[in-house]
Amino acid sequence: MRPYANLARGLYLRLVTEIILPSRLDRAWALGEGRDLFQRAGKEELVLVCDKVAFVDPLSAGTLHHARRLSQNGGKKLSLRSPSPQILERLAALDPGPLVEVAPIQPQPALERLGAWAFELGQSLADGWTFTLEMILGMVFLATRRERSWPGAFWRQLHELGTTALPVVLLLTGLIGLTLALLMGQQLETYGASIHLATLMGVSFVREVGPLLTAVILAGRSGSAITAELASMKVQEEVDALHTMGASQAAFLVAPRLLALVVTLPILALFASAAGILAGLFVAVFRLGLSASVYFQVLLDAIDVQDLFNTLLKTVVFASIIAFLACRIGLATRGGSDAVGRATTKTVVSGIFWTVIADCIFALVLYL
Amino acid sequence: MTENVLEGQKPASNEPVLSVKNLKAGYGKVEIIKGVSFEVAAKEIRVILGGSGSGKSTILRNVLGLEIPWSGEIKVLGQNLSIGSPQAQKALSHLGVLFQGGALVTSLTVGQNVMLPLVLDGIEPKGAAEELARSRLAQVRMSQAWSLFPGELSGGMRKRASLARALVREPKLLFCDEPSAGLDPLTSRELDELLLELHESLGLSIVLVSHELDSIRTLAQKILYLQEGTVLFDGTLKDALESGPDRVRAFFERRTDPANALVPTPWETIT
Repeated sequence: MRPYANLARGLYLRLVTEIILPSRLDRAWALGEGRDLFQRAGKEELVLVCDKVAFVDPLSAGTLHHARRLSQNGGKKLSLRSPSPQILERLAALDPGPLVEVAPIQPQPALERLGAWAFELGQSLADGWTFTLEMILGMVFLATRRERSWPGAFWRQLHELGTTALPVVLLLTGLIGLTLALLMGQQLETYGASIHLATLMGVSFVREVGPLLTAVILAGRSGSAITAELASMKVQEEVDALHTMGASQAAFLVAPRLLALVVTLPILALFASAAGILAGLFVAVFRLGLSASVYFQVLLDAIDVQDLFNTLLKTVVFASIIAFLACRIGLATRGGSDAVGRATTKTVVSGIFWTVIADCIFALVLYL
Repeated sequence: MTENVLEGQKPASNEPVLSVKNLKAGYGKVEIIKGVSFEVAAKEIRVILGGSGSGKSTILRNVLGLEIPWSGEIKVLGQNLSIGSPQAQKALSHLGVLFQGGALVTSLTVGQNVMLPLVLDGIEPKGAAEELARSRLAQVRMSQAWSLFPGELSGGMRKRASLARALVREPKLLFCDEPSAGLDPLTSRELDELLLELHESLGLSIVLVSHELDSIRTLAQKILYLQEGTVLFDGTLKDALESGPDRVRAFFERRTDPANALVPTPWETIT
């Protein structure tokens, strides 16, 4: 019989691979030899010899389960030789169960995708329109005392969105004014036209740089603040609570912010223009050697009341765009804190984008 | 009749304060509530319960007009609560809502928050309104928090302040969305007792969404057990415990469904 037994054993060893497991199946085993197991599982019949195994850590149990899954997928067998009941119990306690397959999302046909996209676009336009109407009605109702906001909400917003923005607006426009004045002063000096620095600074800052730069700063500073506040109110059910108390979100939340920004932005833009012009004066006096009175005289000749009126109109439009987008995006937020972050980014980007577009349209209409 | 109710007179004893008929609702294309009907009688404490994802909060959001139902009819104090209608606005003033996280307006102090519903009714936030708000805060034992901001309060205090705000208009019907969520057992018990006390002293009807057993045992007069968007049981707590469907009794006895347990796959072994 003995030769046959040896023959059988030899045959068995050719068909299966025996792997002797160490006494401790710990993290080191799982990350070392355990990984080699994955290479063989599914390609050969494996027998893991568990005589010595006394300890299995969670990661090693995961390794064994994964090796078994790979073997099954490859149509091979993976067995344990003489495992202790404790080991089997441990492995059963950490059993991952069958894989729950989620049906993969089928890519939509192009035509259907186009339809869905058009539908969504239409819906968002309709939503935007409803929101605009709701907002206008809210302000009318607020003015006629049919709807209420918290008393003093407007003044609080005016302070938060406007007054506190003044230093940064003055500083930035002043510095940009200084830079521009230096560059332009140099060029003008070569042509002997230093005096026209006042004209250039006045026209560019009152008509363009002041309003646009202030709008960009406020889109970043106040627009993001509005969106972040409204979005987190929405996420924390505060907006829902207001609704159940009978508050209209247009009157209670949107109107004070919109009005505050519409009042603030023109005033800040005037301050910004003044800062730029004063920076120009600084360059004119100390770099180009002009006198202050001449600078102001040329300046006053260059700008007229119509310019100031256009600036006012422009900034009111910019403020409406920024506040509208900030409120709309903030109140449309759904989800958790990540959604608040995304909403804020969206407000800043779209606020600046649409402000620049509007500025361009104004330039075409006014100066073409 | 319904007008009388809205003018602040007591509802006739047989008229339900809340009736929901064949409500279907969901989010996007997913139907969550698949035809639910129930009524809440005056001065009744009704608990809506069920496992996670059974549609408890969705029902609440639809009843409060925060979502638009797909179909069905919801009447609060005899009035349809469709968004924007003037009746809805009027009916809303007879509701108080206690949201899960309190949902206090964070830019206002606790006192201002409690006065908020009155301010929205056009009353100045001083004088009588302030006295009333202070009395409500005292009722929930929060007088000391009058000038604090919500961010300075603990979770339990925030809920009590929110409760004071929900009660300031003396509502007929109070909705509570998982009042015990996130509270320690003692604080949660205090809140339950407070709700019971207010129920008795103010004659409030309460609709409570909860899955805290202790809280349900303390408060519930009638329960509505939901499973996957349909009503599995509608009746008194006593009936539910004695003769309710097995699933409902299992919930109260904290039995888990053996069908949900994971069965480990046995290993191939060689000895």
